[in-house]
Amino acid sequence: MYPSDTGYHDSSSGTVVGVLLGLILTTMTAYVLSRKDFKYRNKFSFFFYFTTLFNGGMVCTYIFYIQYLHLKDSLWALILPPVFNVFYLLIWKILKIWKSIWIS
Amino acid sequence: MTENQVLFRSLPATIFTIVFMYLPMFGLVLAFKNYRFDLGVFGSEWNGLENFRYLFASGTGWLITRNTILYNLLNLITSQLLAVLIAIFITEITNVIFKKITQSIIFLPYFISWVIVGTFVFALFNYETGILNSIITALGGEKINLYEMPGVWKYIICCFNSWKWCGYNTVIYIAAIMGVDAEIYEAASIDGATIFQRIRFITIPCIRQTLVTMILLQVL
Repeated sequence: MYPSDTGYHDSSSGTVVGVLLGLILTTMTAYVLSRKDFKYRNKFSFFFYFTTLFNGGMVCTYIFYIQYLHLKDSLWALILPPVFNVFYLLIWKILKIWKSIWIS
Repeated sequence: MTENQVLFRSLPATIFTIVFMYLPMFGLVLAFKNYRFDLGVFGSEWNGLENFRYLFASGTGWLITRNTILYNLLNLITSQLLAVLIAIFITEITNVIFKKITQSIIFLPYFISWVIVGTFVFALFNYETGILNSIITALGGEKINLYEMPGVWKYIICCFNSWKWCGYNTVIYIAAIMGVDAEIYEAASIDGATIFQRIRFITIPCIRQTLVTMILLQVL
């Protein structure tokens, strides 16, 4: 009856939090990785892109979340996995808008 | 902005990646273990390659691998390269409203999940009540049972995969093409290049980096 009784409350608040977190994390890393004078740029890039090649896969991630992070019945299990996506990091780097921000 | 400040900005994402992506990799040993819930990951007994024996001994292991590789290749060609073509065409359109409407309509199928696509493919190609068979019988032909012909489905799957992913990839390639300097195009038109020459010699090399990245991601 009340808006907080339906599932939309969880879904929408989770979405907002997840999107905000994801945006903040992704733009911070995209800025850091696009500065050409960053000393560890290659190492950090390799560190992030390596996860697209080899990751634990669905089974390992699920077991990790359930047993070691204890996220079984919580809303964070919906928010946390897609927060930092290396694919979106790549898209931010492709956009090439960092040149104007970098000078300042 | 000192070096330490820059490092500090990369810290949250690094911690996140270590916790959520590198640590689950240790669970990969599960493939070699006889997993039991109460013993956990590290307490289960070591099984060696026993779990893989059934996969390759039954003879279909290599067939499955070959099919996966071929599907991936075909999807790569139909979604990525087609998307490059569509992106080049869309950037050549001068009418702004038409350009935006086209982009939105092409982008829409990305949001439709595969379950729903499966449902309406069933509605299309169904033997008794499908749209395709209704049209064929209305024109006086024999009904076709597509669900009994396994050979057709590789093409149908590729078509629907490209229908779904072309819009998404097109948007990315349009963004990449927009990042190219306009001065190069002006210099080319002063030198007298035709449109096709301009596309072949300027646009494609400039988005080559994006293309390589996207193809790499698609393969993986």
